[in-house]
Amino acid sequence: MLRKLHDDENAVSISIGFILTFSITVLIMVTVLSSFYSLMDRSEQTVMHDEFEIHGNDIAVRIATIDTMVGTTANSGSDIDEIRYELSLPMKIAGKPYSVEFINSTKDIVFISDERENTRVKVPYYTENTRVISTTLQSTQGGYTMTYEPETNTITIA
Amino acid sequence: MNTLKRDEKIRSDNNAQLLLVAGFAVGVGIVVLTIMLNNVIYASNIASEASIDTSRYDIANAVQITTKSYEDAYRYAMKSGSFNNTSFEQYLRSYAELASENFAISGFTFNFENNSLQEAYFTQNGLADGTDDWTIASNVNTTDMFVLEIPDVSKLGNNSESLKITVTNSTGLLWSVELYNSSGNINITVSDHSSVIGTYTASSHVNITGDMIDFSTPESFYFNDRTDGGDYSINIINGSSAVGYCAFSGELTMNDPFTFARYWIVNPTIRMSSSEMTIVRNLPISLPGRDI
Repeated sequence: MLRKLHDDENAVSISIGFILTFSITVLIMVTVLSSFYSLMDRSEQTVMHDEFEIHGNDIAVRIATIDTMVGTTANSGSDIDEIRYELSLPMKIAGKPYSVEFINSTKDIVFISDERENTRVKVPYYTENTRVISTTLQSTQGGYTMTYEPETNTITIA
Repeated sequence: MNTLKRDEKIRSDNNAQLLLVAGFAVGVGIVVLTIMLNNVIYASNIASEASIDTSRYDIANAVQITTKSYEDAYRYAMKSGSFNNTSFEQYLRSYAELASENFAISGFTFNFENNSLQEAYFTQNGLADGTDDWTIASNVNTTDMFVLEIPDVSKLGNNSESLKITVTNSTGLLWSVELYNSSGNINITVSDHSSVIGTYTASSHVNITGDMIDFSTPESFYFNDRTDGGDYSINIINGSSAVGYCAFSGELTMNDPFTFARYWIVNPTIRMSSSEMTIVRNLPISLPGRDI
């Protein structure tokens, strides 16, 4: 027997309606949540970049300060016995530990979080009178010092 | 009748569904806004931790005021005409106390180890290991005073380690004097750009601009004659080969006066430290120094 589609209400049962509504809601929720997670991840990386740049510039300024002091002292005929800076870097940035690498050959400070290449930040520094010893620091170590060694005319960071 | 009732029911249900959907949309909107704002605030707050380090200016200040204080202490100790070491030490002690208090306000501990007067070499900083070849003054127009004294001739180098003072301009050498130890006396050789114009012997004191040796013997050094026209530099070469006093004064090309006099050298050690940095450096100071 042919029924008119308009009056056919067999499929519009409460259970089918519930299943449809529920699955659509779940799909939307999953999509929205996953897009938020990726948004948050991106903002986490932005924060890391900003923080790395800030700390990198901070360290570069200190290196420049030591270098300038060494240069002016030598020009005025004085000797430096000691220059020591305490560096305070946070253990974690955006919840992740990171490493700081000083590369003397390219005069760069390289920050990288958790060995994730896309969080890598390079901050250049400049020295005229001294040389920075290449080294890599791990953020979990804590308590760093930047020391000028007059005998070798180098800056050691440890 | 039944159909009519069901139609009315559906219509009223439709209205309620619209409300529900609207409510749901508002809810989702609030959640989205909250999370986005939270991220924005988090990012902007966390990225503003940079610190400004001004310690280099404090150190530069400390160097300047310590230099000034030594010069003032020397002047104070010379008030009676001869050097009074007690007054000198007293002045520096009170300076040390005052400086420590002042630097404490800006978060620094400051102390310096006083250093007694030492004989001055003719090097740039006055110490034996200082720079040998250096320029006392550039762009000099006229020199009114040019006096050297080597009280102990045994501390002057011999012929192969002579002390030389040259006056040069852009064209080259104008005038020069060379001093060396010759059997306990100072052998003085004066030259101009082409040849030797005089040789003399002195026991300790040479007044170049006053054309006088050992305070009383007149001699001609032709300094003003050869340097007439100005815009020259006065340079010391091989400064570590002699210990003694020197005084220069005159006028620069910009009509500014210049003075350089060195009778003694002190080499105090300054130590400054704050919560995040420490510096220890020495500071050779010429006494009476500039600006006498």
